[in-house]
Amino acid sequence: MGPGSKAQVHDVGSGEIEVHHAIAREVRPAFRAIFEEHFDYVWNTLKHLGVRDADLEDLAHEVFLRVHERIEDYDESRPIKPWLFAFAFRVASGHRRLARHRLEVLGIAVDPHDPSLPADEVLASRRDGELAAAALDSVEIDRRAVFMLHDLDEVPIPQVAAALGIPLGTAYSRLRLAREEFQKSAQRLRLTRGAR
Amino acid sequence: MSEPVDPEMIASLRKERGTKAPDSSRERVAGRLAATLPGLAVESSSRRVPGVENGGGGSAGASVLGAGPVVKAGLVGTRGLLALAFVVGGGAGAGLHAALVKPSAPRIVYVDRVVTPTPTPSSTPTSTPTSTPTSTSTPSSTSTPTSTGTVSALSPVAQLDAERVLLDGARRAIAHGDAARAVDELRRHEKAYSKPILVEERDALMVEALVRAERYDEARARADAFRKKRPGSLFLSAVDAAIASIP
Repeated sequence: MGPGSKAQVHDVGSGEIEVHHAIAREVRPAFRAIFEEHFDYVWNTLKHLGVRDADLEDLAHEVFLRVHERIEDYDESRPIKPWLFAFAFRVASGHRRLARHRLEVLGIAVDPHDPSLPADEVLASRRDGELAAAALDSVEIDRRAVFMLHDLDEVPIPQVAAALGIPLGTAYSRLRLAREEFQKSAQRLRLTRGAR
Repeated sequence: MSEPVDPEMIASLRKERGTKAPDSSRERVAGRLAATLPGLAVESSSRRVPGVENGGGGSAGASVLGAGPVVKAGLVGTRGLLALAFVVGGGAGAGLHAALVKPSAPRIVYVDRVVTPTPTPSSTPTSTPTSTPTSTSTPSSTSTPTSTGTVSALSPVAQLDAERVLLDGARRAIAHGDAARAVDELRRHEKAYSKPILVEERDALMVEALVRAERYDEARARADAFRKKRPGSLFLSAVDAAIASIP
């Protein structure tokens, strides 16, 4: 059960604000802790789901707003990352639909990923990372979500299915297709780079 | 099940998934959250450092989320700076900040109370941050007083900053073509501030957001109320332009 569930009302009159403060005292630490500990995870998840750098702050804000609204639903006995991932996935999916529409209207080529690695990375590592990110970017977003949760975050498929609200068979199917897409894209990118 | 993918690629991606987000972005998002969720900003008015800005509108309460019992030592370098600045120059910073804020005064209109022509409390259930916990006991008595009590604890300068962050978010959403999100942000502002400072700007933005969201009837109703309530408003031309853009 969530952290704010134990809040009690002692005084309906002048105590209304106290009620709020009692709730806030319980919700705030939990929410703060989630924000502090998992901001990077949410940020990178949004990025790997194809959100452009310019939009990351807006969407991270949106994700944590939704997390705050639903914090009562979080079951502390379960891992938090799949739960957070689901918020990020929904926000990113909605944003991609809007972004695609906007970019198509403006006639701008869609470049959903802006690969940028820390400056102190060695070149080889950077090239590998960019190639992997580019390959990941080519995977359709619904399938990519399953792939990211399972193959990158190492979440068991039943938990992946539960987090994303999809049937187990669909999760397996999406994982298989995602891996194929990823592999093909990676091979194609390698060939392209090798030819340069 | 298909063959597992190239382990080197997986390792590379996993490494990227562990990359740290920029501190400046973390701070700005924290600031926006503190402004959007006033319940989290209670401590910000006394802790934030007037005069130490983080760029854009994201400074209000930027350290709030880390200012409680779960704060971790050395989390973000900027917070150390904020704390140091607080100790060293709190008073001077307040004066400086007040001076810095004044130039934007022409855009601010002080009113006694916000007017909400079409209150729709049930239409935005997700925008009431603290309504869930006590829903079994006093569902209606906790939402409005919550916001009222919380925000009244902010100093005018802190409230102004917090409101600006919220309205900037709405403005950005409009610019990004996400009018529905802009409406949500503006409704959060309506609920959060019983005595808003930027009420005219908020209401004008709401008209524009509703037009962009193709909710024309609501936009017209809001515009009519705006004209009646504030016939001399600087934002009237923006309201009229938004209504005129309705096809």
